[in-house]
Formats: sequence, C-alpha cells, structure tokens
Amino acid sequence: MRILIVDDEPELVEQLGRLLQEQKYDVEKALDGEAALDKLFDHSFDLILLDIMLPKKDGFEVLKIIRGEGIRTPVLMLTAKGDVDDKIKGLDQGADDYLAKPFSMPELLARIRALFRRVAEHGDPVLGTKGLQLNTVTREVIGASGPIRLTPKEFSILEFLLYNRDRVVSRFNLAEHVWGEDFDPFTMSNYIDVHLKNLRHKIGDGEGTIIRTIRGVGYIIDEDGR
Amino acid sequence: MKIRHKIALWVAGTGFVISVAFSLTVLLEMMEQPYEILDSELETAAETLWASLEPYLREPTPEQLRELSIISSRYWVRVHDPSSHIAYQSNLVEFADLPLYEKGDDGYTVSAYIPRDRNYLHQGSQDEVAFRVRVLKVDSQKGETYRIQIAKSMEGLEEELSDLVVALGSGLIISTLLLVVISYSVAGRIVKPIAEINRLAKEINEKTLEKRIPLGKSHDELYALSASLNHMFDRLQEAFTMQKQFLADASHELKSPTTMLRLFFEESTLRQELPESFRDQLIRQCDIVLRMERLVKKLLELSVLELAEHPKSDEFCLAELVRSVLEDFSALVAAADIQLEVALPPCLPMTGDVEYLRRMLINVLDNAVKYNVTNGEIRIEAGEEGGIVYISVFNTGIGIPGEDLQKVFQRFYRVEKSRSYQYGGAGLGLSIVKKIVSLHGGTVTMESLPGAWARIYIALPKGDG
Repeated sequence: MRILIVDDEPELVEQLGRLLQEQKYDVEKALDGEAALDKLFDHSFDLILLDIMLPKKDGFEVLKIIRGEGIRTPVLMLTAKGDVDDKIKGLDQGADDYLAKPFSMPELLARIRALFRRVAEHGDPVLGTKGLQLNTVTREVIGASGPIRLTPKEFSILEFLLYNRDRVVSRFNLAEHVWGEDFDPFTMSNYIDVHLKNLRHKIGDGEGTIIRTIRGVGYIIDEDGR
Repeated sequence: MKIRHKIALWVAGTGFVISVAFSLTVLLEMMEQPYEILDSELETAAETLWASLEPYLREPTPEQLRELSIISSRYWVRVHDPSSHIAYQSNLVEFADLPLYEKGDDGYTVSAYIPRDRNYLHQGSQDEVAFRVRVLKVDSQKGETYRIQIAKSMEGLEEELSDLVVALGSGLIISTLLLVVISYSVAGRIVKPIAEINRLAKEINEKTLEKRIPLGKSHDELYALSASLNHMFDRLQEAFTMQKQFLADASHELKSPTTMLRLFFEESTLRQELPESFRDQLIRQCDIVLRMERLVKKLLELSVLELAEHPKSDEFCLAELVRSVLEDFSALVAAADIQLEVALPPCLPMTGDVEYLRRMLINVLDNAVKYNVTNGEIRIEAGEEGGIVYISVFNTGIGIPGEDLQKVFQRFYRVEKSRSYQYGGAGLGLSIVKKIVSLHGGTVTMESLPGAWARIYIALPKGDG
C-alpha cells in the first residue's frame, strides 16, 4: 500500500512517514502542491494525506486538478479543527475523509484502514477476531452464539480497536474517537472503562482475552493474546 | 447639568445682569432730574417773591398782602427776618409746619400731615404730603439778611417715580423671561446635532464596528467631530480584527508542532522495550502535551467563533438536541452516581446554528459533570416564554464565589486552578458558550451558592422558525 504524504512541515512529514512505515505502508513525501502533483502524475498511490495550507498550490487546487485528471486515489484531508467550511469544501471537491490537526496515530490509522476498505473494489467490510465479526457497513456484530446488540458507543469502541489491531489504544484516544472533538476527552476518558465493561460482557469476554487491558495505557485487540 | 441648560443659564443670566444695571442707571438718572428741576423752580419762585415782597416788608398794606398771597398761593413760604422772627408766611403754612434746616444750597425733602379734607394736595391714604424745601438767604437793600423757606408738594412726582419703577421692573421681568426662552431654544438647536452624533456613536458596538457616523454637508466643528470619531472607529475596528486574526493565526501555527509532539509522545508511551521508569515519565509528559493540544484546539475554536458573524439558521427541536447530548453524558452521569432530573418539552422548536448550539450544550454539561460531587445532582430545564427559548442547568458542586460570577465567561478563568487542571479544563469552555450565545443574540447568566451549587441560565431568541 503506497501512501503520499503532502504537508509543508518537513518534520511532520518525516515523523508521519516513519510511523506509517512501521505499519508496513510504503510512503512518499511532498512538501508543496506542485511537488505533490509531480509525484501523483508519475506514480500511482493507494492513498493521499493532503494538507490544505500548502505553498505554490494549496490542497484544494491539488484536489481539483487530480480529480480533473481522473485520478481516483482516495484523499484524506488534514487541517485545523473548526474550519467547517474547509471540511465541506474539501468533501465537495472529492476528498474522501477529513481529519483535524492535531490528531492521534490510532485515529489516523483507523481512518486510513476504513478508507482502504471502503474504496477497495473487493473490499471486505467485515473486521473480525477470535470468533467475533463486525460489519462496518451494516453495523452488525456476530459473536460465537449469534448476533450481539451493541449501543452506538460500544460499537464505535470495538470498531476502533479492530481498526487498530495489534496496537495499544489509550483511553484518551478512545474517548476522542467515540465522542468526537467537541467533547472534552479528559472528562470522557474517565468513563471509557464503564463502556468497556459493558462491551466485554456483551461479547462474552469477561476474562479480558479478546480485548486485553494494558495497565496504565489502554486496551488492545491482538491475535496472539495470552 | 446638561450643556443645553448651561448655555441657556449663562445667556439668560448675563442678559439679566446687563438689564438690571441698565435699568438702575436709568432709574437713578430719572430720579435725580425732577429734584434738580424742582429746586431751580423753587429758587426762581423765591427770587420773584422776594422782589415783590421786599419793598413792603415793614408795613405791608392788606392789598399788597393779598397780591402776594396770589403769587405765593402755589408754594409754602415763610420768610424769616435777621432776628429769626417770621416776616411773612403764605396761606399753606396754616396747614403744616415744616422744619427749617440749614443745608446750604441743596434742597431737602420732608413730609407733613395734612388731612385731605382740609386741603387736598393728592396726598395718599395716610394723609402724608411730601414737600421739597429750599432755604435761600437774601440781602435787603438795608443790608439785612433774610431767609426764605420755600416748599412745594411733590405728591405727583412721587407717583410718577413709582410708575417708572413698576415699568422698569416689569420690563426687566419680561425681557428676562424672553431671554430664557430664546436662549433655551437656541441652545437646543446648538446641542441637537451633538446629541445625534452621540446616538449614532452609541449604536456602534462590538458587533456593528463597521458602522460609521454620516458626515454633514457643512464643514463645521460637528463635521470635524464626526470625522474624528469615525477615524477612531476605523482604528478600533482594525485593532479588533487584528487581535482576532492574531488569535486565529497563532493557534493555527501551533497545530503542526502540537501534532508532531503528540504523535511522538503517544507512540513513545507504547514502546514496551523502554525501561519502566522512563515510560512513566513519558506518560506524564504525554499528558501535558495532550493538555496543550486541547488548549490549542479550544483557542482555535474560540478564534473561529470570534471571527464568525452570522450563525446558520437551522430549524430544529432544541429539546431533542439537549436529549441527544445528554445521551452522550449518560454513562458518565451514572458512573459518578449523579442524580439527573430533566424537564423538557417534546420539541421546543427554534432557529439557530445546530452545530454551535450542540457545542454550547456540551460545554455547559461538561462543567455540570466536571464540577459536581459524588451523589450530586443535575437539573435541566428548558422551555419557551414570549419568543425566548431558555435552558437552565443546575448542578451541585463547588460553585463559584459571588465576586467571580461575572468573570466565569472570561477567557482562562478557573475557579480552582488545581481542581480544573485535574479535569483538563482550559478555562475556555464558558467563553465559548458565551460567544455562541451572543452570536445568536441571546444572554447567559450564572448564579451560585459557593460550596453548594451553580446554575447557568441561557436565553435565546426563538428565531424565525
């Protein structure tokens, strides 16, 4: 999977590149709009992380040009929170998703993985682990003993953990993802455990073998759990 | 005191003083003159009398005396010989005895009692008659000095003088009243454009900073005043915009650095290979970075709101919005053993920006939960009254000291720094609430009993919906 990172901040591009490479993604970098276009015309990518404020050509222009050229590569726009107009404009011009800076790695990975599944031609909407299947499209969860009814919050937590499989997700990251950035994650993360307890009970994971607790950090779903 | 009253008072007051001075001068002049005329008349009369009297002084015949009495009938006359015996006196002397004063050349005024039924001389009700008296010394052909005391009633003169005083006094009163009326209306005309400029300047506030005072046609002082004020508003608007833009730019510039810090610290805390003690350090540092990040997000949110002008006009049910936000807090409220009482109508329709109002409710409820106590209470009420939609959120908890009730809506205000830091508060939540409320043209107030409870009350116009 090849990802093009476009941002005018070299340090951020470096850091994102390194973190994504650790997740086994191939990464290309561009520091301005024109460099991004050059790379996009020369190579094919599976995903573009596109900042809006860029030198030479801004994110909107880049998006307009590549969509005009018929390049259908999924685009995840990166920009500041609160610029609702930017969000709408980006999505109108053919961006596939939108992520506000600053963001967390679990959030970025979940967005990237969700995008890959959504746009892949033979994408499988089902995420699963240890006899548990979660359909990201129909929003159904099937356990060992049949369908499980989860609240929207519980579903959201499970989905997020599955997208971040084999990675520890902190309560803070979960709170941010589940409630969104308008809520204070410092307030909300204190009560993630309450939702986790209910979720574990529903999926028959009273022992904490499917969703493991990493003390002092958060939770993880991994295949080789104890 | 208003300028209009001051101008009127000064003009009328000055006019009054000038009129009084003028009237007094006229009056004094007018009062002097009759005495001078009368005195010279008395002198002439005395000389005439003396001329006819002298030849017969020793032994006047009765015919001569009658003739004399005709001449002297209009005057009170008494002639004293050198040994102070009365040499001659006129008929009027029978009715009054006037005292003799030696006053040189000047005349003097005395009054005498003459009943009007005996001799009518225009006397007043008291039968008092004022006389102007002169005493003149004359020398006879034999070289003897005689004194002629001659007097005339002044009743007519007194009346005329009092008429004059009345006329001058009433003139003074009328002219002063006129002056007051005219100066008040003139002052009004002068002040009116100033009041108009003041009214227009008042209309320009934080929300209508682009408004200006229209400039008049004539390039007078008021034109200059309006121009100066407009110039001041220009600079004010510029400063306001710059300040808001600075906040927006600064928080925008902080986005990328905080993203980098956050990514680095969050990922570092997951490194199992790092020594335990070092990872604990990292986790604590990471918490600080997350707080900073939260602050940057809130600042940016506030700056976007500061620059926002008109909220969207969505039509929606406010009660449903409240219920959906409450749903997000439900686990939290239950876990903290907080008793929740909700009194909401089914819909409560209004027009406003749903996204902003949702954020407002989240901030308000976040505070109600964050600053509550275990086994505490939250009471939420909403309703409509005369085109105004209100929401009231009551919570038990630490409350706010009375002197701080106004400050809670200021940026970075925190009741207890340590406590809210523990909860991750940045002190911007209520500023955001206030900004959203005022964008909708509403009001927000806070009440509290420190140590017991706090209640926030939000009133919003229902809008067109």
